[in-house]
Amino acid sequence: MKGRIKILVWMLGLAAWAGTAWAQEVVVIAHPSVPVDTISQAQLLNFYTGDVQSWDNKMQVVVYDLKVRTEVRDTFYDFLGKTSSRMRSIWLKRKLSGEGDPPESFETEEEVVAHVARTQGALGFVSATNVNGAVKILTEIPLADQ
Amino acid sequence: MAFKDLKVGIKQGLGFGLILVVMTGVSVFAIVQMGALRQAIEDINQFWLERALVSARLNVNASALRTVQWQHALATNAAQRQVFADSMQTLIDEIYAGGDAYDELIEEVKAGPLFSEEEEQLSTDLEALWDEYLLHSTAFVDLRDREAVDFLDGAMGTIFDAFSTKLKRLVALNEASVEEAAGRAESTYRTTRNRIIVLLVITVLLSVGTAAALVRFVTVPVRGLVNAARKVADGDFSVHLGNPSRDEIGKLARSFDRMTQSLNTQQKALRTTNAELTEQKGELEQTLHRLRDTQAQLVLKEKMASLGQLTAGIAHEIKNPLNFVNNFSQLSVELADELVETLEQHREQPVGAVLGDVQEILRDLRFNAERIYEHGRRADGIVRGMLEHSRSGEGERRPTPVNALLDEYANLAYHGIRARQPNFNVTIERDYDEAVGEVSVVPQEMGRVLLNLLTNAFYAVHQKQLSDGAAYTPTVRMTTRTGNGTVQIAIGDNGPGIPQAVQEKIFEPFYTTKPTGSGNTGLGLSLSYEIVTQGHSGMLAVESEEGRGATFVITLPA
Repeated sequence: MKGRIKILVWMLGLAAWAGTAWAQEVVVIAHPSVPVDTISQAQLLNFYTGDVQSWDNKMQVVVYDLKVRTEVRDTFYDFLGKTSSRMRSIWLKRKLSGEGDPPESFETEEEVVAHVARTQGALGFVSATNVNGAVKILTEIPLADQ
Repeated sequence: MAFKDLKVGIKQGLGFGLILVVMTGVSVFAIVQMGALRQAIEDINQFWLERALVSARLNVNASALRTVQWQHALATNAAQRQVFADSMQTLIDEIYAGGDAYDELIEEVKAGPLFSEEEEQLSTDLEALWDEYLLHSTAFVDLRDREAVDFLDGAMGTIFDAFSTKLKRLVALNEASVEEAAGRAESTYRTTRNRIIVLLVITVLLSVGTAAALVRFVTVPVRGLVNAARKVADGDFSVHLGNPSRDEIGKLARSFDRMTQSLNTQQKALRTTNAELTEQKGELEQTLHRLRDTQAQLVLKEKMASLGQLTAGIAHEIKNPLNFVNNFSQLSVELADELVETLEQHREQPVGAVLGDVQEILRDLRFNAERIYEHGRRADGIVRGMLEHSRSGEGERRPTPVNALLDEYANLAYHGIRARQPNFNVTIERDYDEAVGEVSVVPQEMGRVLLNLLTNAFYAVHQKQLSDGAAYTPTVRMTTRTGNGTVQIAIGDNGPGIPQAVQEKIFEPFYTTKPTGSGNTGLGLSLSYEIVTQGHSGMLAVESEEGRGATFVITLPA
C-alpha cells in the first residue's frame, strides 16, 4: 500500500515538473533600450547591489524587486549567490550611508513587467510565463531543483 | 582435573595469565572510555560551545541593533542620526559575520546527530524573520520621531520579538547541548573512573587470590616437605604428608611418603632383627661359654689320656731299673748276711784265714752296688729326661733331634699300649735320613703329635692282628727325609686302612672311629693338625688305601 502511494506521488510530481519545466523558468528582463542582449551573473550582481548604476552607454540602471519572498525571487538571488536577507542588508547599509535606496519592489510580477516595459534602462526578474513582447529577455535562470 | 592437580608451571601461568588478562581488560576499557570522553569533550569544544557562543553573540548584537534603532528614532538631529546609522551598519556587519560563522558551524554537522530538526527549523525561521526585519529596517530609516517610534514599537517590535524569542531558543538549545555533552562527558568520566576502580579492586583481589593460591598449592606443600625432610633427617620416620595433589610437588610428596614408610618398615624390621640378634648373641655367648668350658674339659681329658699313655710308658721305663735295684739290693742284703755269718764262724781265727771269702763277698757286694748305682742312675736319667721334657720352657721352640724324638715317643707309645694290652706285638721298621738332624720345634707339642700318630698306628695294626690272627705281621714303619728346605716325618702302618669318606673328616674335632667309652675324645688328630699347621707352619696329610694301611706325613720347614 505504502509502496503504491509512493509511486503515485512520484508519478504526479514527474508530470507536474514536465508540464511546468519551461514555464517556471526565471527570466531576467530589460527595457528594450538597454545596450545589451545578454547579461552575466556578475553584471547582474553589480547592478542589484548598486555597485554599478549605469549601462556602458551611461544610461541610468533602474532595478526592480519583488516585495514578497517567492520561489522566483529566491531563485533569482540564489543565482546571484546572495540570500534575500544579505541583499536587504546591503541595501539597508547603502541607505544608512546615504549612497542610495534599495530597488523599488512590487507585489506582483505583472507590475514588474509593466514597469520594466516603460522605464528606460530598467532591469527585472519574473517567471517566464509572465513575459510579454514589451521587454527584452537577457538571460534565463532554471528553477532550483526542488 | 582440579586446580591443585595441575602442574606448578601451569598453575603459575594461569594465575599470572589471569592477572594479565584482567590488567589488559582494564587498560583496553580505560583506553576505549578515554576515547568516548575525548569525543564528548571534542563535541563540546568543536561544536556545541562554539555554536552557543556564536548564537549568544548574535543575540547580543541583535539586542544592540534594536537599542541603536531606538536611539536613531529618538535622535534630534541629522548628525546624531548619522552616528547611530553608522553603529547600525557595524552591528549589521557583525550580525552577518556571526550568521556566517554559525552557518559554517552547522554546515559541518548538518548530516550528523549533532544537528537537530528543531535547530534547522529555528535557523530557517530566523533567516526569514531577519530578512523581514531588514526590510522593515530599510523602511524605518526614512521615518522620523513619532512615526519612527510607532513603527519600531509596532510592526518591527513584533518581528523582533519573534526573532529574539527564536534566537534565545537557539542559544538555550546550544547551551543545553553543551550541558548535555558536558554531562555526558562527566558521566562517562564517572562511569569510567568507577569501573576502573572496580576492575582494579578485582585485579588486586585476583592478584591476592593468585598469590594465596600459589602459596596454598606450592609454598605450603613445599614447606611441608621441608619440615618432613627435617624430621626424617632427625630420625622420625613416622612422618606422613597425607593426601597430596597430583602435581610435581604431590608426586614428590607421595614418593616421600613411600620412602618414609619404607624406612619406617625397614627400621622396625631392623629393630626386631636387632633384638633377635641381641638375644641370639646372648644365647650364643652362653653356648660359646659352655663350649669353651666343654672344650677345655675335653682338651684336659685328651691331655689326661695322653698322660695315661705316657705314664704307662714311663712306669715301664722306670720299673726295669727299679727291678734291678730291688734285685741287687736283695742280693746285697743276702751277701751282707753271708759276710756276717762267715766272720762269726771264724771269730777265733786270724783275719788271713777268711780273707779270701770276705774279699769274694765284698767283690760281689761291690758289683751289686755298682749295678744298683747304674740302674739308679738309669732311672734317674729317665726321670730327669721326663722332667726336662715337661719343665723346660713350655711352648718354646728349640732345636730338637727329630730321629731321637721319634725313637723316644715310639718307645713311650709302645709301652703305653703294652701296659693295657700285654700280648701286643709289633715290628717297628726305621728308615731314618741322618741328614735330617735337628729341627726347631716345641718338643712337648711335637712329641704329642708323634705319640698320637704312633698310638693310632699301633691301635690299627693291633685291630688287624686281632681279626687276621697269626698269618699277619703287624708292622709300623717310621721314615724321615729332608730336602727342598723341608723335613718329612712319615708314620705308616699295614693296618686296615682308612676309607675315603673317613679321610675327609679325619682332622675334624671330635671325630672318631674308635668305640665310645674307651676314653677317646676324638680330639687327637685335630689337635695334632693344629699343632703342625698353626704351631709349626707345617703340613699334616694322610695317604691311605683301604685294606693296605695308612701313612701320616708331617712336613716341617727345615
